[in-house]
Amino acid sequence: MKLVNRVVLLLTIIAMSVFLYGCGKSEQAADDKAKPTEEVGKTEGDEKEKAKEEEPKEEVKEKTEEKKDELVISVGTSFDSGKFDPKQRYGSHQQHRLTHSSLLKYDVDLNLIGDLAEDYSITEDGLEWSFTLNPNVKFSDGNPVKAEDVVFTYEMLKEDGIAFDLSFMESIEKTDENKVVIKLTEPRSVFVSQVTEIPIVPANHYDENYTKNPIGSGAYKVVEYREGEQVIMEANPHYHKPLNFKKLTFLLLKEDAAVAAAKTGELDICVTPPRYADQKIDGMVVQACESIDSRGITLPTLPSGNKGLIHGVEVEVGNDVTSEVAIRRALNVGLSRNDLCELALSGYGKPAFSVCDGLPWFNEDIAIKDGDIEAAKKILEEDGWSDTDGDGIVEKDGKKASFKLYYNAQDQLRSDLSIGVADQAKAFGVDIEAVGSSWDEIFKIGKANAVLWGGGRHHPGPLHNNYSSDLIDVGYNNMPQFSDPNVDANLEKAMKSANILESYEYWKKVQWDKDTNSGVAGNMSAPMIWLTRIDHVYFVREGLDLGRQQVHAHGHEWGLFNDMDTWGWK
Amino acid sequence: MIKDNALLKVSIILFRMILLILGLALLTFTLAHYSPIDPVQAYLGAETHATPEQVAQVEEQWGLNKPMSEQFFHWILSLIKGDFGMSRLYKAPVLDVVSEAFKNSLILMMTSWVLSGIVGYVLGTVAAFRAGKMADKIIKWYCYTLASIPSNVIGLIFLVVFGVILKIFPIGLSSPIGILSQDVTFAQRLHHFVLPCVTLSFLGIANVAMHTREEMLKVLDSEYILFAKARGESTWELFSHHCIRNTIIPVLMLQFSYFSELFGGSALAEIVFAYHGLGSVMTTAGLKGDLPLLLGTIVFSSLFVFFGNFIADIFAKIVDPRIKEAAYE
Repeated sequence: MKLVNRVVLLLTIIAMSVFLYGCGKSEQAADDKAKPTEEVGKTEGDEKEKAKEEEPKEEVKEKTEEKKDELVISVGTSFDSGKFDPKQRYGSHQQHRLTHSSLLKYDVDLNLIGDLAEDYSITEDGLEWSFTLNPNVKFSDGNPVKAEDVVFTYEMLKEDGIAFDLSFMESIEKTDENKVVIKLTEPRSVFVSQVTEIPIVPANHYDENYTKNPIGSGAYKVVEYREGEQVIMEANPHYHKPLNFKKLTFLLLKEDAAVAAAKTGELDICVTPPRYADQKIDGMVVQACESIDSRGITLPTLPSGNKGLIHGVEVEVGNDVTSEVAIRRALNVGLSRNDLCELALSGYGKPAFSVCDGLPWFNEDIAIKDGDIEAAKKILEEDGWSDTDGDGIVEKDGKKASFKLYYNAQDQLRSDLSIGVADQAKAFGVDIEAVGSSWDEIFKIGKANAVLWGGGRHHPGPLHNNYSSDLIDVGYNNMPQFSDPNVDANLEKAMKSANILESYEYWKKVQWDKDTNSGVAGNMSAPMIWLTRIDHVYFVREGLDLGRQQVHAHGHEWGLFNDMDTWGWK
Repeated sequence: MIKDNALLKVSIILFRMILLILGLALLTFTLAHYSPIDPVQAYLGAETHATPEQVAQVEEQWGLNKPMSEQFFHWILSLIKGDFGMSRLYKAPVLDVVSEAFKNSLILMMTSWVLSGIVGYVLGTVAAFRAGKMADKIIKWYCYTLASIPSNVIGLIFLVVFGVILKIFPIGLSSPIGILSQDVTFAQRLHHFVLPCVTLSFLGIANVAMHTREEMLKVLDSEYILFAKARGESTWELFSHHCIRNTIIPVLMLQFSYFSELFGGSALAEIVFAYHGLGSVMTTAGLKGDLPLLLGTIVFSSLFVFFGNFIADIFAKIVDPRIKEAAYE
């Protein structure tokens, strides 16, 4: 029985400690309850404010002269994608702009300009790219960024071979204190994607623990990284441009938790899916940024019964309905992109006719007046499609115009778009069954069915990846198994152009080439029907000026942070 | 003699534990092997332009090109050496990732475990002593309602009420926004800890309270209580002299065996409150096909649950001689 007493005693002790703990809690709670009522403002319940910036923050609200130099931002849970390490693909979606610099970058109008490099040149044969580094750029530890660091980063990534494709790079050499020359095995104008995306890391500091203590030459440096919760950054004291904000805190919150946090007034910037953008949040305004983050449909261009590869796995290829070019062209002209934007994006989107609408290499002539049901019907009729059995769906040679459109069911937007497309296509007699699925399944059946696809980058690479016959069976490229000698010829010229501006002309011809009347546009071969590009929508604290934003690329977590020196209070 | 016996028993328990872990690991391996999630694709993302050679390179690096049995034995051999492998997602040793997350979860789970045990016991006792009266009805209503709501829903309600509307508690995270770890005070941590902890406790309370009520009613219905009442003992005396001893064991056993549900609830609460713990790590590992990490979290969580049940056994034996004797026979 002594033991029983001991157990009771033990429990009493636990009970006492929990009671005491509970008291501490209620004091804390009472303390906090008192605060908001004292404050005149309607926000700030967090003790952080008590400790640090209760007053400044309130003053920002009343008189904007008093400026807060810290921002709290939530742009999604995958903000930490790549964890500052290029070997983990950090930079592949422009994440690196905040913390690192790359050789070149795009300005707000998408002109290619120097970032780390002051100047660059490409030899006439397109095989040698030379960069002169800006001697003023320094890493956050104060050391200048040297040619050695660039050489180290590129050689390390070439050897790794997984994160960035550098298989076509023959060599990289330091030719001078501040000069680097990269030799390619073949001319390649889309090498700009690597030189704008690869973040340069310090050669003498980089190792396998780099993620824990990343040093870069971007505007901000990581001070603390708390897994799954928050990332705290401070201004890089050695950055070569003045910055208005000394500190940025990124919260790794999910969409609904982020909006809840914004409502408590704790956030200065909060990303939101377009469908939540009509919510009212006190003290915040909605800012929609134009993007090239596009959605479209891939349509198999071969008849059924073929074989091919997706990601190295043998799959069925081809579809008897989508391989009819009349069907694809009818979709292009018959679907109403504006209606789809309203339906799936609450108006926060723009029609898209290619994977590069609005970019310098977009061929504006391919934009047509769509939503034209009569025109779609006419295209089908001229090709011999008609509704013979009166069920509203057209047939040709006993074949019904009916196919499946797969989409990733986890993505609300893709789901809404797919259902919208299926609904609209009925009006001109094409039966589309929208099927929700997972990427894993889609990558097994995606070359025999239509798929709701996405893409859009700050370089013309997606045109090559999506339409080059060289890339059939490579990775997830060219899902429609499309090949056209005229398109391939223009792709070849575009890729091999030594002059990047000249290459834009060929990229335009890939979309539509007047001379040969060929191209991948919706009224030509139409292996993909592009539908919309999604605005990236943010709630932003009133008075906060995020500078002029360039057209965002795919991946809305990071598009915002390209030019941090242009941020400030109005 | 007794020493030998104890040694034998400890070995049996250890053997069981090892079997449990092996079985769970084998199950996880098999399920992961047949799941449609391709770990390389999950790692590279949907929009990758990796060439087949690059994909093959990753597969080789991770040993995915080897047969499942070989992968499994390789994992076990490393585990014996104390190596849990590398997490593919975090690119860090699994042990580092898991132990940090486990520490966070453990504090959360143990606090709410103690809290729910005590509050639940008190509520159950009150309900039993006031059986059929208003207090009993209210407590029963409360318990049934709570038992039928998943913890993430309660979490969301708390979040909206206390975080967004009343602004008493933060909306998530384990520490204040923008403050470095070394500058975070204990009070601040506590403040961030309250909502997830209370959320997690809420479910346990219902469970313990209803169980205590039943046990208590059984005791109150006994003849010795009748006799004690006849002697004129007060309600408090009844409770302290007779009821505690007779009800605490089943309640404690229930509470320890509740570890598994505690873990599940914790995973949900962690996700709602963006609280970095084992539950959220396990979810990410599962969804992204990070098998080494998933196995690591499973080993840790099964050990946790195993020890919960193990302690419940020991408690039962120490406190109630009848069970002890039965075990020796």
